[in-house]
Amino acid sequence: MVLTAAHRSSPGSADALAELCRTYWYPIYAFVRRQGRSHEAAQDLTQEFFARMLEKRYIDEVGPEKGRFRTFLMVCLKRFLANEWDKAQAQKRGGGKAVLSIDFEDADGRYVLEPGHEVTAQRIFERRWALTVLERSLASLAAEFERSGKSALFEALKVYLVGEVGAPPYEEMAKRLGMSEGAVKVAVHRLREKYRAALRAQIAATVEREEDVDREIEELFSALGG
Amino acid sequence: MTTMLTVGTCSQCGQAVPGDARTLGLCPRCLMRSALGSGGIDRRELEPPGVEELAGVLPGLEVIELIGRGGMGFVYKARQRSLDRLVAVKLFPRDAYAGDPTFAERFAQEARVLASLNHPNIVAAHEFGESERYCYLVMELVEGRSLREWTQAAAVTPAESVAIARQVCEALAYAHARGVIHRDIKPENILLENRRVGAAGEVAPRVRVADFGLAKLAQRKVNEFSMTGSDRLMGTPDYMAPEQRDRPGEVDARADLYALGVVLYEMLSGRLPLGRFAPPTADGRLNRIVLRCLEAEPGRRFASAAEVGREVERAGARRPVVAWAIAAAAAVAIAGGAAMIVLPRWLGSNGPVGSTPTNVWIGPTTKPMPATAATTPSAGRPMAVRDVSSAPFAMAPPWANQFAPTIEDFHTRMVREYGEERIVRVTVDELHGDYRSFLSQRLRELSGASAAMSSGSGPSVLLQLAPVRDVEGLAGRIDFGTVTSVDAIKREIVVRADAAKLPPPLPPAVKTPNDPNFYARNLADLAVWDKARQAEALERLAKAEPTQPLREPIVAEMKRLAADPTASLRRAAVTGLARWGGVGTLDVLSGAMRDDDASVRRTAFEAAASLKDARAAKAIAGAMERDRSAAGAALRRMGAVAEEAAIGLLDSSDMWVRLEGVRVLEEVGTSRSLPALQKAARSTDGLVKMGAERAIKAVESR
Repeated sequence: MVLTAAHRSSPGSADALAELCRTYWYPIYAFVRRQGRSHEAAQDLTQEFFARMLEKRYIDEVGPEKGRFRTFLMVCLKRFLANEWDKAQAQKRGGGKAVLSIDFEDADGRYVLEPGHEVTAQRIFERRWALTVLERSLASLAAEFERSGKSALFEALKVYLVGEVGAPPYEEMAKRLGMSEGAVKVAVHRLREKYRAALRAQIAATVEREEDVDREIEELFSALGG
Repeated sequence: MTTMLTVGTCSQCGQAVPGDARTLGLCPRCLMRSALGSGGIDRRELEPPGVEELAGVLPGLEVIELIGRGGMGFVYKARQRSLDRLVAVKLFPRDAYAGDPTFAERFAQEARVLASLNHPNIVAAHEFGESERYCYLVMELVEGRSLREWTQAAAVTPAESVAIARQVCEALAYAHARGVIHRDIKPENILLENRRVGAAGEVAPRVRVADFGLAKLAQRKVNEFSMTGSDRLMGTPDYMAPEQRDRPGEVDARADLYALGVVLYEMLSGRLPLGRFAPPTADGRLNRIVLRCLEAEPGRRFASAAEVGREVERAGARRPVVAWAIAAAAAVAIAGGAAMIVLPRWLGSNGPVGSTPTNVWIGPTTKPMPATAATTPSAGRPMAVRDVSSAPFAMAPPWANQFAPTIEDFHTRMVREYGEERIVRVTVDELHGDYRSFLSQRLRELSGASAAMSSGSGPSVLLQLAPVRDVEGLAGRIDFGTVTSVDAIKREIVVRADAAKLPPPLPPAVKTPNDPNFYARNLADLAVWDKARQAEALERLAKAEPTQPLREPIVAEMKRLAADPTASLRRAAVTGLARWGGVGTLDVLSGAMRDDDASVRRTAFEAAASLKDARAAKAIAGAMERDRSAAGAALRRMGAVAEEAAIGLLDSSDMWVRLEGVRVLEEVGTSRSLPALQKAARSTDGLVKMGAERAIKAVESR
């Protein structure tokens, strides 16, 4: 529910914040890009933004009411960009010495795939955020199955995560996996539970209270065009 | 036209799966949809078995009634026939633990341990057993209520807090000595008997700690079922030590001490120690105990529950004199506007910032003050401001340590934000009275500084201002005394105060409501020049009985202060107004609901909700767009009286407002809401539709 970080002045909290930033850098990058900046400028600005975040210049200004990391980050980012942190400034201060190791390598390639112009930067940010949450949750789920040597089972059953329509009938899946139909149903049920738990845990690290998790899921669903 | 690459079509919803989604080829929308509501009603809920259902199931027991339900099981009151005594039976439905084959075995093991504990402050376990569908534990029935119920009914006094904590320590010390860790100390598990403990005059009820070690049972399965419906996936981590959250299998007795620290903090302050929290009380000794319990690092906590118990007892025996410290804290808070900053929990808050009472009051030569080291938990560790080189707090007494975390953080922030070269230090001597808030305000006006903090007491006060470039220029403008020295290099100004140029000194504040002058004097305080005094008077009046001949002028003053430029005053005024002016002040409260300061908004919503009036609900609903979640929470808290207003929300053109309305009705709606909800259930917005369906179900089941 809450980050594993220790309190703010200890090294642990910086790590926790850095980890959050590392996870959610791409939505930030995409937002900055959408504001009409080049790949290089967006890369610098993203780095610089995180540098300032980690220096905790913004953190002091956040109150408990800004309970969600996503909205908080957006507020900070807008403020940061509004303060005219143009490229020159970024290079002067943070350029060159990266505070976070972020893999910008394929960022530009990914960005080309972003939806077109009528989507606002804000929408892109939210959509990217939602996708990041899903990607992370699925990755941790896949890793969990891999650890227990059940990667093949995960590969076969993951299609049921979105629902049963269009997925192979259980009977067929049972034959394919050499399991009973009942066992497949149970496995699917557990997979779904695990997936939900993973997703909720992913989101819980970015919100203030447990009850915010459901609200965040709804908003992310909406951000995906749900 | 969107130029979105796709990797196929979702078999579920028929829409294109976007190519930039790295979701294993699965449709992101459907993935997210499948998690909607997963924390709520879609999860398996177990109903407590009825009394008839249990007849004959539990041998030798005649079940009387359900008296409680928790995250793990249900508690019934029952009669044990053989001994003809009343007992409490904790029932663990096996269904709930179906996925955990070792549950029954572990249950028996834990129950045996529990039954071996025999201590006046621990709820005794008599026996345990298993039936086909249940594991159950027969325990002593405690006549009384939980600390949670107690604190909800009335505030706990510091003396009561101490007495309760001391008894919890005794229970913990006893259990820890036998290798039993509680793992789930929280107000719900601390039961208070109706009878009081000790000799006549003793203030607190007898404490009985329940459920030793049982939390261990739930660890594996708690994610997969819910018995209360409100029990969410991850439980309540509020009381859990950081290491317990991370590595629940490896905790030791010190995790209980952390939880005890949270309970104690909550008793003393009425709040949970979340984010960067202020010390819980004005009592330095108690604060040190609490903060040491709350250390994120187990090694920095007390070594044992017995030690905590001794410290708590000593703290309780001593009457602290701390008026100065309270005033100092208030001055810092107001001067800075944000000296006490609360951080959201996702920034990491398993412990308080500066949770170790590090001594920041350093002498002028950066040499540490001779600390109160013998009793200070931080004894033996270097005393220095963590990452700030300056040594500004030359004159504060060592016991002022208790506000060190607050002040230190504020100063650290000042240095970070502005740099040493833009901070100026002004010492004002020969003051007669407390002029800190006046001086910090006046100096800000004279210097244009945006931040100021004051420290020190008595005739000398030190103020730090930032950003200020021109030290000599500021010295030339000082108009409340004679400047005796200016050092532009060290950036220091020393001023001898001139009583004739300062506002008139204020008479002492009247703090006890039964003083005949209480209302008149506090009313007068609302209009004084000292903002700290104003804030204190507001707080005192907000707590006092509002039936008074002076009601009208008091309400008028509060209305005026509700528009004060200082947010903390607006906040306090709003709370006072709701209590003193009732619905007659709704116009002011409505304005405050739209305040720029979020804490003022939140306070206004809460104040309006406390009126329990349909007009107040309407005002809250009207301000919904300003702060959806705070407004929604306020409406839910109001209960049935908010129904009409919530129905109104369903007509909003904003989807999120409609959704919030549906959520409120899910909790407060009656059959009157059904037509509106049914209409919402036909909405084209998926979320509103889903929420409305859920709300209809909830309403119909009531």
